[in-house]
Amino acid sequence: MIKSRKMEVFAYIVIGLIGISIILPFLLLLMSSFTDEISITRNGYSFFPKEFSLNAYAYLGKSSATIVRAYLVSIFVTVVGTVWGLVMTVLCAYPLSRRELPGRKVMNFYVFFTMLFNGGLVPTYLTYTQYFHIKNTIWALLVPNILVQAYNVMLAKTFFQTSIPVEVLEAARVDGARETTIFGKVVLPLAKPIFATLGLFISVTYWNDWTNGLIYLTDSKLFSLQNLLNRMTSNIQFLSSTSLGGNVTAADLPSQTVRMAIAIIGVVPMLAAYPFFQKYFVKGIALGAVKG
Amino acid sequence: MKKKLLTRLLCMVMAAGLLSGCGSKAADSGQGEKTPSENQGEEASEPADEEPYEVVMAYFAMGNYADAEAVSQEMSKITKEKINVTVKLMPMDVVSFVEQMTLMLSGDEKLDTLLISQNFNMSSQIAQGQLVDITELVETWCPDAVEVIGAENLEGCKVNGVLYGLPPTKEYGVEYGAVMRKDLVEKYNIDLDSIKTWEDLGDVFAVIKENEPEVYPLVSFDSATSIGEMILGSDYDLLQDKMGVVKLGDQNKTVVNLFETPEYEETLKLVREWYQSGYVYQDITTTQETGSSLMAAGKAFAWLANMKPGYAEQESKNSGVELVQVNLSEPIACTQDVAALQMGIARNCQNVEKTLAFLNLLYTDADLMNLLTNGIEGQHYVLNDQGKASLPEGVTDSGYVFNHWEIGNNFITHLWDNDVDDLWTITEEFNKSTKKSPAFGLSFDLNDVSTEVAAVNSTMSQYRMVLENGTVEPEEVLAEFRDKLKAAGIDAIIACKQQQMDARK
Repeated sequence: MIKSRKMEVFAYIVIGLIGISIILPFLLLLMSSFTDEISITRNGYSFFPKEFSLNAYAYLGKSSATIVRAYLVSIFVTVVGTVWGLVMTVLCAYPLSRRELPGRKVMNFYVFFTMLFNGGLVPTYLTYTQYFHIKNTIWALLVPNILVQAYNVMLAKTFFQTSIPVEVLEAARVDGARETTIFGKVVLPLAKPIFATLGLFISVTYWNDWTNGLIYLTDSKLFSLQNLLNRMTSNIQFLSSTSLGGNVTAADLPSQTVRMAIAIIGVVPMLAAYPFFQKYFVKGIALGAVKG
Repeated sequence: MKKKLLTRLLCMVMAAGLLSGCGSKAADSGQGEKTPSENQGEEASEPADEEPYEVVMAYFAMGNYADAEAVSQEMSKITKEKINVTVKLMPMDVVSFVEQMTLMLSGDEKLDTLLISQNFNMSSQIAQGQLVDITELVETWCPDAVEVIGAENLEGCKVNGVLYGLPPTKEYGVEYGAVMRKDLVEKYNIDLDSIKTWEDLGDVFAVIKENEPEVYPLVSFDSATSIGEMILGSDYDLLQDKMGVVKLGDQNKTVVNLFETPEYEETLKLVREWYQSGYVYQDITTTQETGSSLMAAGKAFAWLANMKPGYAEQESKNSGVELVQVNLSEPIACTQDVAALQMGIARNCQNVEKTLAFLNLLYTDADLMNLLTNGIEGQHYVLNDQGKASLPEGVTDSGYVFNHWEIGNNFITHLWDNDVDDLWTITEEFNKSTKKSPAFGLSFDLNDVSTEVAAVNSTMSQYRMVLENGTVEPEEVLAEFRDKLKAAGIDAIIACKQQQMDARK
């Protein structure tokens, strides 16, 4: 008993340290977004800014057109993408979880295979742009790479296999239910935890995604928030690492504090959504993780 | 055509190597057959002169370009009338630009003219046959552009005797020196005319060090450039990569190892002295701050730079602190000063002649160029009494911000109100006054020694910055650096460059 007590204290200390190492940088990000720009260059980053300033947020407010637009794009893509992705993933995973499905092994392998190998960037790009014509459309942010991910399908499949007893499905069938009824009335209500887990996974992926924007978009009207932030930071990196003579100047690029502020407003929605998912989160991932 | 086939074949082989790639393989071969028929369709309608040809122009931009489409439409009005061409501007952020060009050029996506640069994979674009050889074509289709740029400068853009693009008109050279804070220069009565050599700068820094303990007398322009590099640039043509350089004014055109020269040693000593005296920003090799942000924060007094006419004004604008410049070298013209940025023609282009005619217009038509660089008059800028552009009243966030150096003939465009009055005349004078490097007009092809180049590059990145910023004692480290360079094969690179230099003589 005493031993386990000690263990407990030790575990809390470890978890506490990990927690601090995650929270502190975030706090620093938050504080520096409230620091005066010149004060950062002069004194470096600090948890307790000498000169408190709301300039960065004021700047965001001023050039709001671009940022609000990007924010809306992000929200739209995340909402639509999550719902759509969830439906597709579950509809793919559920049949694969049923042992009666003919050719199940082959299809399972097919899904699994995409986790290991893919076509590579250039062929993927050519296929999407030349056959699906998604370049510079909103589809570019929704479809490629994120919509149905093999890992999520596997997770959902395992969940259906392990946590919904076959007997329940058989009982439903004995009562005269058809497949659609079984799925809608029996399986779905039991699958809430996995919905929450997948929903969180997918929405975070959509919210954080900037690569699709980088590859398939050149039209600045469609940039999402992460895309915008990524472009800003990489432009600045480029400027400080490549010398094109005295030609290129950072005049039009936002300052450090502005970037911090954008990062903050980019994090907030996810931060706000997380507690609502948390209840189901642990359950879903633990159950889905058991390979069956 | 052969190369095109080869790329496609490679694509297929790569795809076929993976089971899942089956789909892509089919896609690739299918696409090859599809596009030519499309091409024919467009070309067939050409002679009738009904359908204007749409030129898609890709380049990178730093500011806001939300209104690029509106500007494209305005430009199209001019070009449609003159050469029956419409324009579609495709500005992108730098990172996106590099990525997009790789992707767009590997497919048959609509793309006519793009910005090419050694900084943006130009060598591999050439190696893969993605750029059109325009050596012969420019004479016929871009006579005005050739005249404006100057035959000699155009010669400098050639790679292995082949011309791929047209450089913009801007300053074709640099002068090395320093920029300093004007208020401090005046406060301590520093006589700028008395500064004649790099060593003289030390005395100026000493004054600042003594009287302004809060200010670092010398910082670097950005984390990619060292202090020593700026000093050496006034003596040597660094041939951009600094491996094997040519002394300015060397008529024998001998390629030498910069790091073995007495000048290099002397420079390191000088910079080390500055560093030890506390003149140099102590975090110089690790900081991510640019000189201009340190200047804005009031922490810096000066940085060394390769400058152009109006440089101090430009940097004053960026840092918000008034600066003055001190020139410590003659204007020098090296190959990259002309050839760093060019507008090239993409392999995907379906009407090379019309595209070239459009590029030619960018060198003669002032209205067209003003649209491209400044946007639409009244919406993105207004002209004041002196004919200079400024933001329209009440506009703080213009929807079209471009620049004055990247594309076309900038000398025919409006200046902005914070530019030097006769910037274009000064720049043209400057270009005439430049001293050409012995290696001017030569772009080296280092594919044969690419292993050595990689090895030398990694050695340089390990030693150069600390040595050239004075943070380590040169006496011990320099010998080590030289040995490592030898081991990495710098001599092979020098021999390779010398050979190409001799071949041209």
